[in-house]
Amino acid sequence: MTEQRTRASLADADTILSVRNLRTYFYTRDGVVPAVDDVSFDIRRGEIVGLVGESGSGKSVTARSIMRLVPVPGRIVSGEMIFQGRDLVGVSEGEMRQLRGAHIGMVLQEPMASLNPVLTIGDQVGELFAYHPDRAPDGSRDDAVAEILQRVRIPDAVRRMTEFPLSFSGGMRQRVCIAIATACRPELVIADEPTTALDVTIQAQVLDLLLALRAELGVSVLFITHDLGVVAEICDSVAVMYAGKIVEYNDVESIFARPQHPYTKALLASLPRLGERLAHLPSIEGQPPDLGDLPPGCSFSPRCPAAIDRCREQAPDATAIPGASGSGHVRCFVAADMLAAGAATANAAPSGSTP
Amino acid sequence: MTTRDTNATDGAPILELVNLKKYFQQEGLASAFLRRKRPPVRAVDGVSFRVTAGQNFGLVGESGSGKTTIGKTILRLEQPTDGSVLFEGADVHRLRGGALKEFRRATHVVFQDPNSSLSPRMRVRDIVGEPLSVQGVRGAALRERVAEVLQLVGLSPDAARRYPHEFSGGQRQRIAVARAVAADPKLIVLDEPVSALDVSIRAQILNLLRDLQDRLNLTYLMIAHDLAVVYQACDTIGVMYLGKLAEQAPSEALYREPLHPYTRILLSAIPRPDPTQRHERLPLTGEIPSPSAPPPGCRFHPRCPIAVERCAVDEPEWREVEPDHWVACHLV
Amino acid sequence: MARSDALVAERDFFLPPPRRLGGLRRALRIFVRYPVFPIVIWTTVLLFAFFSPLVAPHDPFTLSLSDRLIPPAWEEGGSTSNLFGTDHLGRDIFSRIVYASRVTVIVVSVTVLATAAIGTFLGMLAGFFGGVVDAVLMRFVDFQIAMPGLLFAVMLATVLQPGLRNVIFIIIFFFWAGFARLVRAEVLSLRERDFVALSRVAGAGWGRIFLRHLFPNVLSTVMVIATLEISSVIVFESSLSFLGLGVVPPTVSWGQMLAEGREYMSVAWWSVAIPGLAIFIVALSGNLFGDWLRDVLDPHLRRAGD
Repeated sequence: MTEQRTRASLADADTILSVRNLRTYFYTRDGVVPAVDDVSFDIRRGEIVGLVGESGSGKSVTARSIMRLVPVPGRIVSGEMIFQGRDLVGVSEGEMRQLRGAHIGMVLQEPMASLNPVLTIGDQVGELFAYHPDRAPDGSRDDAVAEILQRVRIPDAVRRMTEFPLSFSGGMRQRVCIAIATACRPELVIADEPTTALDVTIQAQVLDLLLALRAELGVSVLFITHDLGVVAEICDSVAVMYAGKIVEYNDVESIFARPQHPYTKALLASLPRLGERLAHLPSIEGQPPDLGDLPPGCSFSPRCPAAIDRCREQAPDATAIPGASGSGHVRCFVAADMLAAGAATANAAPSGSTP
Repeated sequence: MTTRDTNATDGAPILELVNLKKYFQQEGLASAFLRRKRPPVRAVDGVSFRVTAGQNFGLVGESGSGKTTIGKTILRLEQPTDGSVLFEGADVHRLRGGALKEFRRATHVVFQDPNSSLSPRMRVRDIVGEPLSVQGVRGAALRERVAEVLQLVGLSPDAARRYPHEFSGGQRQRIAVARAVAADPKLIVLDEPVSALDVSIRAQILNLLRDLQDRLNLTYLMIAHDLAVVYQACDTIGVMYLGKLAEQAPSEALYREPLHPYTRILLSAIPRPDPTQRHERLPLTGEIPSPSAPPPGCRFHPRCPIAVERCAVDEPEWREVEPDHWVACHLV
Repeated sequence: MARSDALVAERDFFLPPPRRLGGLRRALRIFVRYPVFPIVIWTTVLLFAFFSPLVAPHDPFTLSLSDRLIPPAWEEGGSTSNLFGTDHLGRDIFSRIVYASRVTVIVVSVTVLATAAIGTFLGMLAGFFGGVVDAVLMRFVDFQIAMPGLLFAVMLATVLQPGLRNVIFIIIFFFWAGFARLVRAEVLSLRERDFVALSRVAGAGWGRIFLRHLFPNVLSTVMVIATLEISSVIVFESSLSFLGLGVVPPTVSWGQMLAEGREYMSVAWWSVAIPGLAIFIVALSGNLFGDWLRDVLDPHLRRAGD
């Protein structure tokens, strides 16, 4: 298939990270687990890309692959991750260490687990400058740290930087983690479920903060979440993952308005929403697959209401979706057939077409 | 199984909370050495509501609001500090003997995390059958009922002899639901029943719960932080803030015309799965205060965008402003 | 389908080449994955203990002053009739090692079972109910940890008179608290799990919660501690016997042999080294088996495939 080449050529100078055909497999005692299997996407400068999926979909492993922090027994087996002209798959560990923290920041789900309870907040933010002297401020370290904490809207920053993480609330701790991730003004921040552990009003504050930081610093964000509501609030484009593959990738308006993949459609339909009480929520039957024992063909086919025979035999390739950004793609035979037939109306029942 | 005398339409309260309070005494080095009592954590501080049979009641609130403690107190896992819980008119915490045994049969609970609620070293048949065997059901009757409820929740009968770790997260929650309905209860407390589950599984479990309600004549008290889930599953919603109810109304009314400023902010903070409707979120500054030192007056006043002087002094009365629409705010 | 074949081939391409294990490596792997060494050692010790008269080539108690301090068979001057040589009274060391294993087996099995039972029971009570039971138990544990154990054992032993029964009594007295402490910690976390709350909601009584919910979940911990305890018990018993506070002659134990051989260490190293090695190997087997058991029973490791 040529779609991916086309998209690669479309990747313009604004592209900060370009992931191509990334595969990260886990070599366990029980066999090979393809946690990330042929994943491709781009992040442009200042763009917030959502990576959505359920547990085991491979979204966190994708993030860890970009950071080159795949836990054993996992390994990046192939693909490219072009970041600022360098392929992260090939750079040395020393070079990678220079990139982490300075050029690529990371925010994780549990702020308390990310912070060291026996160091002050100021020390933990300032620590970054010791690792990355080239990105350290000219003036005093304390001034710089206070400024960074103010940037993440921590009130009374000068006093609070001398305190320890335990005296911070959950939301404030996550702000500190964001401060650490953005201290060196990185080009990219990877946020892995950064608001999942927070209350909804605190989540709203953190989302607003991320949007503000994007405006102030021009930082790009890879936002990993299982919550489609959050995606709709802050993302510019979305990659939906299922069983290690990106099944649909498009700009956020198109994904929500015209989902192509049956999984995306079903996921959107099944969300409990406010505003209309339903007697029966549309649901996706079955269970997410076991990555170590995937069904043949398309991994979603056993749960897919639109599956045809072909879906159970072959795995579909990515097919371009004509859309706003021009780089959207979907991995589905039925959706591809409909796109090809020009039948963009997604509701039409799939005819049992043969290849 | 006994046949039930309550039915969904007669409107009798199956559960009533009367000014329920639950304080936790803090322990720590300071109190041990200095003999200075720290102020208690007022997890629940005067909550009253009624649950009508067949009408699901939802309690929403953020962490620290006290909603989980209410659930535990209803189920006698905690003793109330003050006030009472009435189940079918009888004070739950004064039940003894046969009446207590009947209360145990008539109520059950589904917790958030099936990994924690299913003992890893028990077979599914023993887990699901426990509420029955405690009631004295044995032998073939027990086995048949276990098979029956497993089928009811969509599991195959051969699940009975397997262990929890052999199932996926969604199936484990089905086992937990099977257990909850095994002894044919009237009231089931659902404590965050879907929040630990994958998004694609949530709708399945919510549909299952609704389906079981229709078939088994159940009433649910759902405790959750996700207002959209509660809105879909419940007829009445109570919004909690810092140990008290801020507002209570039929689900539709609460969503259409929220009266309490906290409810409005909570509603506006919920991310909508629609990128064309990105909205300005109402600002909520600060974080929830410590329940051991709640603010005087209205508990929400330090963070309330419309608070007036009076809010810092007088505690607002819990009053019914419209039929079935209760709110605790001076400014409504 | 051609396409899916290609996919399979593609995936195979990324697999590491299948490892060809040589005979030696395969043997090594079995050795690493299964507790071969401890099982062999313990089977041997059990066989020695149950069939001492059949295994031992000589009577372990017969003195023969003309055969004093004969070196082991592989040393110059040794003979195959006394595999490990003889001691200062001319007794066959191998035969004495074989007979002494009886003491080891009796002491280990009785004390480990008894301490496991007492410790588990009290630990579960303390962990679940807390309060007075817990306070009393934990103070006792603190007391034992702060006390120099062997010193106190010496005191006890002198009061109680040496002998097999009192050795067992002293070891139980010193070892149950460790069990109780670990079981208590385990129960402290178990009781917060939702399945315990659910059982209470269903109306279950304490007995049921203990037997159905807590005990099966602490059982694996108990088994692991028990196995690891074996080596401590062996060393402790040997220490008591070495100090002359353990079993009394003519009953023979490894620690006692160690003590008797000590004076002749400079001229007959084997009279010390052989019983010392026996203690070391058997104690090590206990630890190795315990580590293996812990890995096997750890539900986190078993759940890795989820």
